[in-house]
Amino acid sequence: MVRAFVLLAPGGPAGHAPCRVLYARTFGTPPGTVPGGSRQRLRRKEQLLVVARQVASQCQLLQSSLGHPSSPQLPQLPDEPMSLQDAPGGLFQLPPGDPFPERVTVVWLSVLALAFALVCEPQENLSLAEITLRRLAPRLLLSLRLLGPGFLHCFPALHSGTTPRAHDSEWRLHVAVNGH
Amino acid sequence: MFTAAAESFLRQARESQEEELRRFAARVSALLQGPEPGPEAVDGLQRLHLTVAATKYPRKLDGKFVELLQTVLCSPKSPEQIQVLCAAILREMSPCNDLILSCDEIQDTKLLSLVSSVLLAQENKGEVAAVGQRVVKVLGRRLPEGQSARFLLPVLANVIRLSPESLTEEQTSAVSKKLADWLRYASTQQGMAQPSGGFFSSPRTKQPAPVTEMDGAVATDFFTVLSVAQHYTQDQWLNVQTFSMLRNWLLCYGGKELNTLNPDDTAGMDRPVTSVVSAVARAGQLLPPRERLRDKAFEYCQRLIEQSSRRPLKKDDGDLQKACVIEAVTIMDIICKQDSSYVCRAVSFLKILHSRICGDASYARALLPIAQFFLNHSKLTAVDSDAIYKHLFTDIPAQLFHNPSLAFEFVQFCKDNSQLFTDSSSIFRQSFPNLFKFLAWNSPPLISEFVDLLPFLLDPGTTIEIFHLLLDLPCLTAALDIQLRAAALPASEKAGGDPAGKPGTCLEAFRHPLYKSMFQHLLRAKSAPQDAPESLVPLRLLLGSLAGSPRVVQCAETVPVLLELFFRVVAEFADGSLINQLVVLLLQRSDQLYEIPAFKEDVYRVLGSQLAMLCGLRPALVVELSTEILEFSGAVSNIQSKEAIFTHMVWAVGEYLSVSYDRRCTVEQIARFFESLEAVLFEITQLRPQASTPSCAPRAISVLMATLTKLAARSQDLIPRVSMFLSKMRTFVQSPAVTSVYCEEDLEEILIRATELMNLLKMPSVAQFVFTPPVASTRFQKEVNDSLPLALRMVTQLLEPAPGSMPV
Repeated sequence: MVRAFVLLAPGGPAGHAPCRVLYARTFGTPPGTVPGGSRQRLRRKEQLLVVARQVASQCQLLQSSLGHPSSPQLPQLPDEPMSLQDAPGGLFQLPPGDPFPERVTVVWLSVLALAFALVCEPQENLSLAEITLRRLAPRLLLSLRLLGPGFLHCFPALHSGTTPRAHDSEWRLHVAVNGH
Repeated sequence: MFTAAAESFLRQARESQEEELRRFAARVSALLQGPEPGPEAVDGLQRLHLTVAATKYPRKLDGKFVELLQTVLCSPKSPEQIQVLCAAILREMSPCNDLILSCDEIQDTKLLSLVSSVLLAQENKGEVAAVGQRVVKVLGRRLPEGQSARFLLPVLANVIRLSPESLTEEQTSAVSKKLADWLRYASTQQGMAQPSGGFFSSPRTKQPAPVTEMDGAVATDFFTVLSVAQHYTQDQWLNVQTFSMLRNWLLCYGGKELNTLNPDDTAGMDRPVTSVVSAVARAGQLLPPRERLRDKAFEYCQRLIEQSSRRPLKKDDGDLQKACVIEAVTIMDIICKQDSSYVCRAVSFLKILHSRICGDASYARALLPIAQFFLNHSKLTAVDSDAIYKHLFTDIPAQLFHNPSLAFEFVQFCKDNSQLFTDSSSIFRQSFPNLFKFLAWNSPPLISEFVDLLPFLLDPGTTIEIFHLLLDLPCLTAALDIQLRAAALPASEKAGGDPAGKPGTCLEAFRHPLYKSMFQHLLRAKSAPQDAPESLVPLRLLLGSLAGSPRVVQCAETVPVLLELFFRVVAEFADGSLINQLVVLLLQRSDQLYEIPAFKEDVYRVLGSQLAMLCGLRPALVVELSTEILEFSGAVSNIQSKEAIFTHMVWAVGEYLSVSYDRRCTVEQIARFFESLEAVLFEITQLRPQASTPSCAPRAISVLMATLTKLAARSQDLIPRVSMFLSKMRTFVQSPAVTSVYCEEDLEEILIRATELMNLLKMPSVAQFVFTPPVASTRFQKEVNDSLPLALRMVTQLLEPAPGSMPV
């Protein structure tokens, strides 16, 4: 099962732009952990930040091993959904205690200057998780638009993760990985 | 740039003040309470969401506002977009104290799903249980027109993940019954498009078309996730969702009943009903819900595997087929664990699947759950699954090491089955050279996995081979690179260059007779302890041109970590002979490393300290390996090129070359070492250094002086020679040629050390005591620069300094 979805800006190599979580959604945290209201929220945010930093670091390492420049400079998001078959991505594991109490596997995908990650529980079908990310990312990219001098404008699609097109095999995939 | 703009928006959101936030919330509140909340309200809510989410510290929103959000969320008049945003904000703030939300009265399934998402985010077992109860209740009833159960299954899946004990056994049975129906009896006709409406459109539409397979053929069997339609019916959605939560459901509730709310109802749960029940299933009668779900699930998995043999019309669907095969095999494995009567059917089925896909590289990841299945169940059926394991461990890593996802899952598989590696004759253990190819190519994500795996690969039989392998890991990366490039060459170029001449490039060398066997050894798939690794020296030189490649450098950075772990594990089981072997090899290999400067330095650092550790484990080796050690420590060039190893080696000689560690240590032996080290020290402390004299780390000089003093303390006729040498150090330190090379603090340190050692030698019996402590306390004297100076200073301070001997 998927614990969380994170959309982040990996930033540049050390010393340049920092890694930022742009959007994150957890699908419920296991109860029975330390109670305490705002501390729980703080812990959740920090756990996601750890995931984001690890993704950023893995992403930079993969880019450098492939011989690509470290920060792709792209001025604008493209207008049509792009194929992400060849976008760099990977899998890595975070051990128990660091940062989640149990071990998790992170599936990530890097597109332009962003990265997407799914935090999965150990028994998750990782093939399915990877396919889901590659299908989900173009749709989310379509929804991300900068709206003038305001805030980053995220359509509701980003909140509910639903794109109600019933004839999509990709949508069935998204359901199959079972986030909301 | 996109992220620079995003960065500034985030900062704006984070830095907005409490007052500003309150005013903004009030404005949004007014909009929400207005007659028809429109796009302005949506925009306001979105900004609020970002503001709350942008910081990890809590943002206080007015209690009344939070209550309003909840009211708006639950109100049937609110537009969906606004409901979604309210839920998002509430989730983002969770856990909240001010929540009045409850799912008890909600009828609408979409709304129930939204509200549940907020409640499940509260990290509260009671809330999770309440949601679980409500969802099961709604699922159990006949839903009113327009409502769909498909919004509820994901909620249920989440509930059982967070708190499986939220449901009673009765409830899980009821849900299992429904799940089985959805899996097996979903409609095989395509759904209808929503009618586009309009006064003139005819309500009569075409006959619904049948569902098709991925290759376009009309489906002749029941609907699954691999079936294709233009539009899907509700029960087809439920079919897909059921499959997606099937694995977890079976894990939670499919086995012995320990996960539900009736702990006292365990009577009879341990009955071995499995074979009886399956016989009943075959007779076609109705099974209890749990067993029936198992049965339908098994059928579903079989169907999926059959469907995966079809060639999809859309290329992307191929990936989905493979992922579904993996899921299907895993679920079959779980079912067989819960009911062993399924094993026979599964085994024959999976063997056929294996032979179908084992030659197809795109199906490689599916081989892992198949192998896991046979590992779990083949004992029951006496099926020979060795061919499967052999193919998996011998062929797959060699061909597909460059696939990072496969690499990761393969190493996970090894970790999950680490007990397989304990048997030294098994194919798993024998294939460890293949496993390292995954690490060599995909170092960053796999290094921590290998840190966990390496201890299982190490035993007395594999130690030496793995030692060489670790030191040559970056070479392996380079060789794999060449292997890939050679394979990508068109056939005409593959013939290779002139075998008589020398190869011009690495690629030519790959097939050249001079280098071919070396490449083959490095790229071997199986453990080969007999082959002599010094034959790789020319290959390492040849591969030097790739030493700067990023992948090679990343791999090189993993080696020091693995080396330290290697020694830590080996120290636990190594006997005397193995330790001796390792020390000799260590000294030999220090000359034969891949030429990456940072890599070599890190490796020397690790080897140096581990050398000291090995000597501490087995002090007698200083005597037993005196020839090799003399040769190493007598070479002045080693001081400059391998300072860390040299220093620790000389320290170990000083520490352990003594009769108290090994009775075979003779006066002659001490004298031999003494002379050799004295010559070295003499050469590096010349007053007028020649161009060829290496400038050495001051630590080397200190450790040489200390060791010579220690040896002299044990063989006292050497004392005059050392004392005279040490007294000359003042002149050395003050000589102009030397002061230009070393810094002042270092020279002062050397002088102080020399003086202390000299003082100590004036009291030979005390010196002996200080330098030959009882065996038990040697563990504390690991660091060269650490305890010895302390001991020396202590002794010097305790005794009266002889006049004129201390520096001014």
